[in-house]
Amino acid sequence: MKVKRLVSLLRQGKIRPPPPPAPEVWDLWADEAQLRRKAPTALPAPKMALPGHAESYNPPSEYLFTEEEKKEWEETFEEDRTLNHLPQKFESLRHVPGYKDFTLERFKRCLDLYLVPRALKQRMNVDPESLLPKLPNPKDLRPFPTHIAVSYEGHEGMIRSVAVEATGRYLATASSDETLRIWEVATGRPVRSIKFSSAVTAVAWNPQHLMLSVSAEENVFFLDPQLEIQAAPDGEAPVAVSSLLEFKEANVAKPEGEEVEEPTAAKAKAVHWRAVQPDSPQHAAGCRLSIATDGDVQLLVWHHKGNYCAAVSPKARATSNQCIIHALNQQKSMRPFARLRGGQQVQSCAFHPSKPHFLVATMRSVRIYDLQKQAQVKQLISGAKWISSVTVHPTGDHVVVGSYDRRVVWWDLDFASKPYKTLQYHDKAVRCATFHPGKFPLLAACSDDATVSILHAKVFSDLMQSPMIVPVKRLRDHMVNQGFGVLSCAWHPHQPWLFTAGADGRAYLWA
Amino acid sequence: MAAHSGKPGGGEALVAFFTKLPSLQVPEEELVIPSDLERYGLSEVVNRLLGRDQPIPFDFLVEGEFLRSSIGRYLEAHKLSSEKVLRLEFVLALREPEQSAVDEAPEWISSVAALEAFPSTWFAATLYDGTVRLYEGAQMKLTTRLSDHGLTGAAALPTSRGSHLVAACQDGTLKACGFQCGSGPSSGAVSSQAGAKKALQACAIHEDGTLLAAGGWSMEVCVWNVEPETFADETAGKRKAPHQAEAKFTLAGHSQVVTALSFGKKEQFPFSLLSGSWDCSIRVWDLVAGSGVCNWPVARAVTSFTLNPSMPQLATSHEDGHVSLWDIRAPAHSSIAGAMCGCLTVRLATDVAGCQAAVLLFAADDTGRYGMTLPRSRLGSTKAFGTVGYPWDIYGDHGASGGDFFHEEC
Repeated sequence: MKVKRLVSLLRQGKIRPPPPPAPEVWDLWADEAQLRRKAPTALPAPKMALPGHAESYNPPSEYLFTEEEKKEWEETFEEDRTLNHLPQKFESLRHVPGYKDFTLERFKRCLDLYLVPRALKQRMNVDPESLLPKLPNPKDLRPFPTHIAVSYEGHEGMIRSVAVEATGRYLATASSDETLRIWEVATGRPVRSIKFSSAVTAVAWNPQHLMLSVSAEENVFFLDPQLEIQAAPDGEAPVAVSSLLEFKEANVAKPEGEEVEEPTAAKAKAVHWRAVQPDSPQHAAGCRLSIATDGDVQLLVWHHKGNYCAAVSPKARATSNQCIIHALNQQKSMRPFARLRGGQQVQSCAFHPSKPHFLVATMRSVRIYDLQKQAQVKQLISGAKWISSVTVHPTGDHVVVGSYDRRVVWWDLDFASKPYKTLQYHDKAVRCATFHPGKFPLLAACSDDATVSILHAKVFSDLMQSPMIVPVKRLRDHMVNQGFGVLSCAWHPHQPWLFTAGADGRAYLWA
Repeated sequence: MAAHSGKPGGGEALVAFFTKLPSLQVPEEELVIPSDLERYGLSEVVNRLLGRDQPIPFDFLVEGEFLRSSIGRYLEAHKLSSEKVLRLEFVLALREPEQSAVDEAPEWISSVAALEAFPSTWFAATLYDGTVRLYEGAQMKLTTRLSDHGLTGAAALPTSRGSHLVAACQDGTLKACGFQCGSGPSSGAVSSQAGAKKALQACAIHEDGTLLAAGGWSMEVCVWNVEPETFADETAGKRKAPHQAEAKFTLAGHSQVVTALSFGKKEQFPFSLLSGSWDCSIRVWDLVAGSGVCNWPVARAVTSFTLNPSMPQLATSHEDGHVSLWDIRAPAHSSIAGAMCGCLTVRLATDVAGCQAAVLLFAADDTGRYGMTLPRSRLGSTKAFGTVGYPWDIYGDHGASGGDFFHEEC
């Protein structure tokens, strides 16, 4: 009766059955199956080759080595040998000696079987073409200059510098045949030809007025080429240019001991402004003011407001004379860089398009100075050993430098002083690199291999995208002359046209 | 090559020659000739039929169009069988013109204008020293000084008594002068129209002779009325040089130099003036209201343009040597985005040795052909080419007419 009661309670679930007894043995490897990783697939050792005719004790005579073959067999490495024994011929089986390498061979085979790790070689299937960046087709990036539209013929010597006027109507070229020529851009017609007494090294148009600054070795001239013609004499003649160039007598009346008084430039030659003599041929051509400096002036750059002109003479003896800023209104010259840290030669300079910054390129670095605060803002260093030219993007955030070691280096000023990109598209020195000053995203670099490379350099206004640089064209019509190629290039202010000037005495407009 | 009568075999065709030239008639019989003959071979056949010892080059027309390929290809292209008789009209071939005379002018020539209705034997060339030289054919007949400063553009209108010439001057005035061409060419008094602030680059004269327009580096287009003393004769008394100080109106809108101007023809664009500029647009101006109508954007800086008189087609030439043909059918908007589609751009090959590909002048004649001048220092060379086949089919009758390429040194 108790049993019946227990069974009914069990069935109802009120009493549970007793638990099973604890096991007496313990499974050691119950968990290990999850922990152990799958072993690599075992690759079996290759099968041993079965003995062939060369292993026989009495092989046919063709299997025996000749003297040369024997020598060759002895000279090759053991791993490279096809047969690991010399075939030998015996008359009968009882003459066959013991094989002395038998144990060694068996030992090596055992090693192969159990000690050598074997695994399948993982090869990467990567198409090398897919690793290259996908650049857009140059056809989509037009307009850019592709061929010569106008050629300006007339110079006999190397053309050192080319400059285009702010409205894009006239072009000025400075040449080592001691002339400065002014041309009409659209037709190629020479308008003026002005002779100087030494090779003309640099030229730049004033951005605001129709006048030029020209340097002929050590002298800088301010020139009014009288290109504006007014019909009616009683109309408003453009007095602005001629009044700008009137020599102001006040500056001359300084004592002769002025040079000694300057504290920082004890060895520096002073810079004097003079009026051009009315009987000289330069005066007849329109030069009104001249400045005698120290060292050949290689570059002239105007500030966009048209008042300041910076002149760079790398070969000046005193460091402070290497970069001088001339103020046209006050007819004074300022030498802000009395002592450049690093002591290197100034090679080029540029004004910032919007901020009061001035960029000075020495041989290895570019320094950005704030002219108002008179302090250095930044120094840009690259691997370039000898910088030739510096240019600033119209937005003011990017600086590109061309150097004599064939490189074009691009810095983004928002980043640190390391370059954003270093481009090497030329075989010889890059003489000049310029951005288009208007709305076209173009960069030109001209070099001593007589070619000019045109790059599409699109700068995005949102800060997330970095500039896209695509080489689109190489212009090849110049010729190398005495080791020099294209010496200077300049963009038209509002059309996608490029002016280039070469050492072969030719200047071209590319459209 | 054998030309015989009979049935054409494979690679042969049936042709019959005829001509409108009275002195070179051939019997109009059907001949079988090899179908791979082109103009030169056919010319030889005709010369043989004429029995000439000195062969004359001929050109051949089929159905009024020049045969520019071989006969076999023509038959294939038009899906004609070789049994059909092809009637070929032969005309004297236009030879490449030889340079008969070169006139070395002392200064660069800026532009050339024809003084009579096309074809004209009288031309005027304006120079950069302010003079105008009149030529009859190849000879220089007259030199007149219009200004002390350079002349850049010129336009001429033939009139009953001679022609009226206007020239854009670099001092900002438009010079106008009447010329009489004939046995004793003479020039009238020079009058000048002022009102532009900077040097002028292009000018135009209305086909009625009532309006003058000029545009240049001040980026504006000035329009003047033609007064009776604008094109006065020299003999009309020694008065003060006629001078207009103000323009009738000034049209501003271009953002770069205005390089080409043209008054619209009565049938196409009555009362309007078209101007092309380096700001890559062609603007249409209304002369009655004195304001802009619309703006056609073309992709490159325009050096000159012309309108096709029979079709809504505009041809523009650019500084980089491209010539573009545009379709101007869609309604013009007054906003910047005008309706220009279907552009065919042809890059001129520099096959003239040493020629720079900067095209500066354009003129269209009634058959829809264009002539261009490529200036090259002191000499100008002219090229003419016919319209090449273009993509739209509505005007299918023009199809692919061959380009007649010929050179003229002037």
